[in-house]
Amino acid sequence: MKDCGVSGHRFLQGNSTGLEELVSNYGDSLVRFAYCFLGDSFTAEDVMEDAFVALIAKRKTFETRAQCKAYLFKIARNRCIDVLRARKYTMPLKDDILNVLDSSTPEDDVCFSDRNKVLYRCIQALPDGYRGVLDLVYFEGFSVAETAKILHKSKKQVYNLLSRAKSQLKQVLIMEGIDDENF
Amino acid sequence: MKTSEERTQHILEKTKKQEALKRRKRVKWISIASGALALTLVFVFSFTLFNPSTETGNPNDYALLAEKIDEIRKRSDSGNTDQDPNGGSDSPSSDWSGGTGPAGDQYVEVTNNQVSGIVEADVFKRSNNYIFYLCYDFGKDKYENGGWVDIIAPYYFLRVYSIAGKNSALVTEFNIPAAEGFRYGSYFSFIMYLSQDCSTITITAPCRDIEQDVYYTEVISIDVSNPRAPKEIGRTYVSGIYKSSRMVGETLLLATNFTVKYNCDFKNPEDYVPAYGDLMQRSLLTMKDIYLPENANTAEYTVLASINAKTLAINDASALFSYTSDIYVSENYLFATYTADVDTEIAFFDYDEDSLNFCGTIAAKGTIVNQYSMDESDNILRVFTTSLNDNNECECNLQCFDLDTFELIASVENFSDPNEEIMSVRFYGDTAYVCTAIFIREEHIVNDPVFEFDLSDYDNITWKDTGTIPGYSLSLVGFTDGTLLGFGYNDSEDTLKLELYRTVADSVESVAAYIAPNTTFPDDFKAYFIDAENGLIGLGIKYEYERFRYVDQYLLLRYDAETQSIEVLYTFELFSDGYPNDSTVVIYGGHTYTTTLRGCFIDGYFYLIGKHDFQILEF
Repeated sequence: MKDCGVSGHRFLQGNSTGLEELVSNYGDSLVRFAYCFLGDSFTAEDVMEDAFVALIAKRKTFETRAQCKAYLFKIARNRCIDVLRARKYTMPLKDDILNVLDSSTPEDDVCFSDRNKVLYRCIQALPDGYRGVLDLVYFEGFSVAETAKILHKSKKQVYNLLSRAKSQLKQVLIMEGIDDENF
Repeated sequence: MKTSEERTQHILEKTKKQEALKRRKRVKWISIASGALALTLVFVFSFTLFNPSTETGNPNDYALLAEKIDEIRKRSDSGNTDQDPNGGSDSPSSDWSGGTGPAGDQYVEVTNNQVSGIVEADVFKRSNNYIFYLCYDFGKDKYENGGWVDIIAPYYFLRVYSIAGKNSALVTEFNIPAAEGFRYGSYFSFIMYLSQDCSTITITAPCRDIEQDVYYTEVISIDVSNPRAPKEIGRTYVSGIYKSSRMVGETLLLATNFTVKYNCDFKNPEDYVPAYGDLMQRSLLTMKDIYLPENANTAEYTVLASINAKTLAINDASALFSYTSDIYVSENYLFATYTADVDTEIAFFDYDEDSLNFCGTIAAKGTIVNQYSMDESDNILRVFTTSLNDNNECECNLQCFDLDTFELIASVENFSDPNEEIMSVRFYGDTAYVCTAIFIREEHIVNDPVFEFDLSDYDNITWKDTGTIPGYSLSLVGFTDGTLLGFGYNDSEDTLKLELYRTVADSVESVAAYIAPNTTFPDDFKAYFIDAENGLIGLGIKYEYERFRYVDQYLLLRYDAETQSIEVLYTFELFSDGYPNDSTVVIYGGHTYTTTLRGCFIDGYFYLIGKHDFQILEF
């Protein structure tokens, strides 16, 4: 994956390909993350775009890729909360999740394997509070501390959520007929 | 799914639109500012020094809220009160950059906090070396031209005492007047915190804007790094009258109650939307920060603010419309309650150093007594309530909610005798103590059992009780030698009873009791001195020695484990100038109000502190 810090730096210097690289690197991940909160792929796309708009408006510079990524996810999470407060609950469209699991780049499609797609689908069956934390830790590779900052929770709360989420996910996987412990 | 190129294009378009919008707003504000500047130049000498501004909300943004308020107003016979605890006035907030506590000084917790680490406010705090005590002075006024006029406006003052046994003394008294254009008017609801490094006192006080006749809660920061010379750092404001607060680390979680003016102008959101901020700029809460319950029936809010206690920056703010809450704060969440008719809606927020995030609400059957009725452990909220059945009889219940899924995972309904209601609750881990009572009005008798619940297994909740005992407890707290101490009444509500309970094999038994007839005491648990280690108890009382003749005293008692009795060690006589000592119990209209007397035991000396008293008893 290209270095976010370098791409971002190039973008801030006025190089438009820098932005496209950032979107290519993180766009799908952000949409999947927003989907965990919203259950609606179209709004998740909007949230992803809003996160980048906020990044551009802030003109922030980052020294590391991790900082840039964490910032984008934090914005996305806040924007999801705004959307949820502003609208009444709507049922997710049938098969809407397929829109989220297809990726915008062939490269990313390879990374997001069939196994991960099944796992991601099962995660959507969990309660709200568990989906986001599992996505951040297991799909996006954030540490507990980073996840806590993105979700505005304490580390202790994140640990507790992960523990409960994994326990429930196991039940969901069993119901899906997946009982391989190594899955 | 869109390609990266398509997404990038969308993002750039959105960015351009946003920038265009900002430019239009800048042009608009430049025009307004130019106009304002011109007006300022013309009218400069007629402006007072104080000129607060509020970030004006667009009435269209608050249309739903305005509609709700209007609906309630029309529905209600009594309508809203003529008070308008509406926000915010201002004073300079400063960039506080300094201070650690005095060298060698250490914070000592003296407040009986519900949750360890979640500090509650009080008028009394201390460190190793100093006692800090907050008082209110009514000021002086005179009758002139048909009205009362201030000679000295009411003010607060902070007293600092050195701790040195018999040689303890007052080292300073620091006056805190109201900001220009404002007036302090409440004898109640002023409290403070001492920072963990003993360098800062944070005070909250109810305050009124004289000109606009609106109320807010003022938060004041005082540098006490040199306790002999305190300095004010700054002030900030939140709409509404103080309700409750907690200090977690350096973050002040503040709850106020803001009532909408009855004749509010819906074209002016400032009239009905809570605000917060400092001297020259206050902000209205946006609709996304206001929770509007389905069954809202009063035009008031509980306003919640997260404030950095050192800098007074307001990190985050929210409001719960129609809530008139009890506030409970656990390690993980802040809970606020709303009693709609006979049930209780509980809203909860998770919080950290700089934010307060609304998580959702749960509905509990029945009503709670106070903050102690709730306890959160491992993301499960346990709540004790009193409800009414179809025959209009009281029933006592326990409900346990999973805060991840909002589901009721366990409950015990109607665990007490018919018509008993819950009077006090105390949780210690997975054990809960509950005092219920039944009022037999015709015989003027009150009886209670005390229950002990085991909540370690939600699939098998068990409990035991004392059986019927005369009287009931308003407050329960763990005490010495494995006992539970109850502050309450005996068989009538003019007889003080302190009672110790202990759990035995299959029941709870009364171990010892102290009963004082014709004695009233404050219902504020912070006024009780409890030293479990030494078995000491202290509280201010009002004793009726003859019909309608009272004396104010402070009792210091001790539990003797050998004789299993509670005895009075010492009775402090309090300062009296012919009027009731305003540090003690105030009986007004039959209600008992808070006392501001405080006691503490330090290195062999008992200190009694009040507005008119500083007494030291050597042991």
